[in-house]
Amino acid sequence: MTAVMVEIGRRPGDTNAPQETGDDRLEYVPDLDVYLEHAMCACNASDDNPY
Amino acid sequence: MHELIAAPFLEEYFLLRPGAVNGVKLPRARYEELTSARAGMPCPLWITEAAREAFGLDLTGRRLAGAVLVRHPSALGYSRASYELNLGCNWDCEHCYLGLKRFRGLAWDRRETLLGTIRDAGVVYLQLTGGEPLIDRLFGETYELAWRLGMMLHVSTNGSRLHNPRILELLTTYPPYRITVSAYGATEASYDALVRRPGAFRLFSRGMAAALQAGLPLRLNIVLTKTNAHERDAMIAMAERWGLRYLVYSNLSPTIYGGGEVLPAQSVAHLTARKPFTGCNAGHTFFHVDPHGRASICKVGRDEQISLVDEGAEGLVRMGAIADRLMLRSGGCSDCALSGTCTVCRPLAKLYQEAKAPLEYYCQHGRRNVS
Repeated sequence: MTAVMVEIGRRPGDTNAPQETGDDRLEYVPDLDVYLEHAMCACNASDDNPY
Repeated sequence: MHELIAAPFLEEYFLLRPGAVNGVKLPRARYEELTSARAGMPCPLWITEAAREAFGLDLTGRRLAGAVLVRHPSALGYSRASYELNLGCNWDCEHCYLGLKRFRGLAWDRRETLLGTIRDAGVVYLQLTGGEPLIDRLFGETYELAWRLGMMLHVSTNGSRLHNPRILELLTTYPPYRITVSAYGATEASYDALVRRPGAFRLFSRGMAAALQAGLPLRLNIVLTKTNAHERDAMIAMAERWGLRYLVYSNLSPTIYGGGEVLPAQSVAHLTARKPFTGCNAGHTFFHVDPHGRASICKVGRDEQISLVDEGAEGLVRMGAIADRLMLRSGGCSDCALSGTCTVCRPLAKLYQEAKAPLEYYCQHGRRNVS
């Protein structure tokens, strides 16, 4: 078998994700889907499969 | 009954409200303050203010323990899972990837154990699916317990039971994060033909009307096959009329048993180009559980399952290695020069290969007419 390297980033390519503030402030996130998409398997997160 | 959930999620910390799509990201120190709070302590001022600002929720004078369910960290670090309550369904869709839709699920005592295990694995967002989960005889108990354990719930359904008063009461009392309803047609003729059940469209329409009236957080998954593809625009108009976000699906998958019998239902004219597969968190931050309580990396890659009922959350320690193994290009895909731009993950490609599906359905070699 040949291994194919894939990058598994926690938030790959996510430019909309709220940035770390680095302090004690709370950060209000308007839509948590930004985070959820990166916790899903790829076919769930994409528009390829309905389930 | 909790109003908010404080939970670790993907190595960060969030304050969540069941039924809400927004949230508050907490500094680690604030989260730790909640985990070490003494019994009977009132909600700290910062959380009262955050609840008001983010959710319009007044927690003045409330005790922390009653208002905020604090989820404890899990060494396993999972954040999301799906649980297929039962493969049984009241529809008989021509395209269904489940193939044999057997009515089988865990008895209640084993489900309780399973849900506790999913919680202990760190799961914050749980999708309840099927088959049709709303016809499962233990759906209500399962949903309520998962909610009470501090999970944000997503229900995937055909909508046929959303008009049921007991289900509506459950979903309004214990709000889900999302309800995704599959749409199979814009008219009775095409809908009933696709799901092969007379009267199905009327039940779908009735369920949608009730769910919209109740203000449930709905989305539509529009599924296109040869039978209803001519109603694509009408289904989109239906979603827009209801003010719902939607996705349109036209690429069908083989069954989970590697069967190709569902693929002829695909409307070839409506197939869409898949994006290149660039990696997947399946098995690492996400896992799937079948009706028997067996965990797999996802809904497609079901090899090497782990019985969560028998092994508990500790069994998931093996899941990451299973995921890495299943993602290796193997079989007909070994040494493929186009792996870097392949549009399907290895488990899905394996299903297509087992189903002896035409190469152009899933492989660049087929589309490029290269052997």
